[in-house]
Amino acid sequence: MVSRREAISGIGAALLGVAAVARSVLAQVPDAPSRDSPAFQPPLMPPNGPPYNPVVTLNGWTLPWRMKDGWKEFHLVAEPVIRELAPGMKANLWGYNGQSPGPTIECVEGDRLRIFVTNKLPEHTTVHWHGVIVPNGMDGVGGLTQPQIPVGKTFVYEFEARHSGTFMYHPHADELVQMAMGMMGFFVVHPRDPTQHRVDRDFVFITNAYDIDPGAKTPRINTMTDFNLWSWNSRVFPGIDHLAVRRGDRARIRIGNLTMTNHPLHLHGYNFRVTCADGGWVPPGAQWPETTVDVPVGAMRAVEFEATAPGDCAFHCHKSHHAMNAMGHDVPTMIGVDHRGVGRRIVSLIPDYMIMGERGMADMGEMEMPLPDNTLPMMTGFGPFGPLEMGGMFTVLKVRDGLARDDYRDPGWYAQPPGTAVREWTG
Amino acid sequence: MKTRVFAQRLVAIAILAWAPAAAFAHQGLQSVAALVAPDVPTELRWVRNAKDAQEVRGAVAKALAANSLTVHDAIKVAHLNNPGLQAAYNELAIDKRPFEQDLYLAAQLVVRLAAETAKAYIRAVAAGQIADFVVQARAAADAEADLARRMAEIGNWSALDYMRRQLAYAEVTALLARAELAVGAAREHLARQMGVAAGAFSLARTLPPVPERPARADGLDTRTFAERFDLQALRYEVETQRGVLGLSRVTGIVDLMQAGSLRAPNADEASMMFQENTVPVFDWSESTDPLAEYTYMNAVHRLADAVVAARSQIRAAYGAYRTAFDLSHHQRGEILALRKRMGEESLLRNNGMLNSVFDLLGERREEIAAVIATIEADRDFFLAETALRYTPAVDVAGIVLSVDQTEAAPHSHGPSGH
Repeated sequence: MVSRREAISGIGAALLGVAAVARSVLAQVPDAPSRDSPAFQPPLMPPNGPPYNPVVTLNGWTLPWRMKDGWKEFHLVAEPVIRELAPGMKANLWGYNGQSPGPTIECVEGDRLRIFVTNKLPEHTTVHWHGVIVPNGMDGVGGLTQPQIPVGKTFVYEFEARHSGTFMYHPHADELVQMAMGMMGFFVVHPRDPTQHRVDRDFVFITNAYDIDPGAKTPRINTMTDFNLWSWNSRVFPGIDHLAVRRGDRARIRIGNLTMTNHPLHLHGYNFRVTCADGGWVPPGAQWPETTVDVPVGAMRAVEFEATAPGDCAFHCHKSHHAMNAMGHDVPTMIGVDHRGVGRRIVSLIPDYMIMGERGMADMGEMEMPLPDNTLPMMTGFGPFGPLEMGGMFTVLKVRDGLARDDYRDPGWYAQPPGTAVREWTG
Repeated sequence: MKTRVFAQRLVAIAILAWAPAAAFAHQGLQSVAALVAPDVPTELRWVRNAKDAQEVRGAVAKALAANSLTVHDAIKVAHLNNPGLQAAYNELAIDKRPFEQDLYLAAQLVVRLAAETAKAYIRAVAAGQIADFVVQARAAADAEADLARRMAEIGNWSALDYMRRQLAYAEVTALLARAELAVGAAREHLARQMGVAAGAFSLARTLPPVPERPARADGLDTRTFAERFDLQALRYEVETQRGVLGLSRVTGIVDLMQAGSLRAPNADEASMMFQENTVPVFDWSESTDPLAEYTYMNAVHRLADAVVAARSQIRAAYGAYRTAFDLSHHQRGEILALRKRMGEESLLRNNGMLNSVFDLLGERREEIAAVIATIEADRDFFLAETALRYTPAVDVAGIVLSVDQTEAAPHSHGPSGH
């Protein structure tokens, strides 16, 4: 079955992938590389096959493949994983090849794909290629188009990537549980002509949501709507990668939604155009301008903009609870409640108690108080001007002059030119 | 466990074997004090004149003046000052019983008073300790209700939410009234044992710590016969009957440790009268009394019955002690410890605004309830320990401070009275 698993990292990913392929060239099943970290990975330049402009997966990576007899062969391993949602919190999830979400699969229009799927979960699974038009028997719907992949077995999906576009993959077997546990991945089919739909920076992520009780590690799989961790690629603020873009670049952000609610994702500083949905590219004349793209449940959107203005631009879901980490939804509003006399009595009963919330909840963003194990603050993070008071689906687009073409490293905080920032009115 | 020997008792009685008819009035208290010394090292006073009374008042006042009365001092005051005990001394002085019987009766009264006083003391301290924590629980509920009212006043909460908290406060207030009543009742009970007013003494705020290791049960119930005053009295009755009936030729041996079973005497026992765990039966034709057999065997079986009961009581007392010991440690080491950790976790959640101050105060009230249950478990341990301490000497279960009651104890309690 799986002969060996490679941990790959950094720029060497492609080379390592090549080396792994070379060593297992005679094996029937290609190696299944694995990652044990959510750290940023640079785009994987295609080592073989038709050229394309690779994407960048936030806190993720692209799955290396091997070419065999004209087929691109990938190997996904469905398995339990431990995913760091942000520094300070790890979750027991299910995913692929060591992480949740699984690695991004990138290929080119017209590629013939052979995707091996090995099931190391405790129950059967399938993989559905969400939005990709495939032969019916390759659609991955357990019971309908295929028998589920039993525990310990490897199945092979074979199909041609007929249309370029923005897609996902996820199980269609015990789907509720397996998606609630984090099983999903991005799937990009690049145009055959690399100059078509060309952008300089192409970011991808999937929105997902978990319900993990503070102090616990495993999602409550039966939660339907009251999730407490709203994540991008199974990461929450301040754990989500920044989007570093060189000034003047054309940038694309592709989003898939596998939560149980829509996400109006709002980008500050730019108006963008919606250029792609799961059904394909939007003709230029039909692209519409927005600053908030509402991504429906089970849908994909890609937005594009010219990064003309430098700055630190907030990028977040506009459902404000989704830009927070786990919070107490049953906590009553304490704003304006006069605590005089009562606070002292409470402290005499509970010595370490601290009055919070009587002016609002901003205290929370500034204070670092001991929390239950493996629990992130409800609102957290610091910027150059103080606490950011955010969590969940929040990160920053950082547009800067002079970044190298493949430099995605965090350029630090933006220095606003004098006279361009808000100031206190002093008369 | 205390160690006492049969011989010690016999010495105390032997000294007084020559005493005249009204011996109790002259020598009784010294002898009783010697008898009970292994169980209750105490001072006994028979108050017969103003000087005695003044001395007793002085001793009592000195003991009660302490910042917190010790259980030892409470027993001392009870022995000096309990009017019922003084009445019993006078009653024993005028009754027609043999002197030895009077001694055993008086010893039982003294030990029982000690046991009852110790129990009353434990209950009174525990009641006060519990009430202190109900006060804390009420403070928590009060803070909740107060905050809830303020929240309702500014529109953050509905009247219904506020009333829920106010109801909790009202219920804890009722609990506190009951807890305070229990404190008063427990202090009154202790005061009655000591013959003083309930306001005349101060008690410790807390029970002492329960020991880390339990006392051992080894051989506890085999020491019964030597150490129980009620058995001594019944045994004396058997011996007296033998003398009165003029019996001397041993024909059998009744083994008191085998539920009074009768067997033939062996060679050594043929001439022996009474041993620690056996009594002889005789050739009834020796006696001129035609009812000699029934009179004597009645006394023997009453003794055997009492031995069975006493051994059972001691085993039961140890069982109760051991369970109370385990429960006390379980309550503190498991239940209370978990409650405290839950409180800590709840506070961590509160730090993260994941729960509210109302959750926190509710959790605190639950923890206080666990503290109260722990105090109750400790109290039950010390009560069981007291019962175990005195059961080898007297029938603690049937504590009644009356000479008449004790005389008929084995019968009046019935076959399953313990």
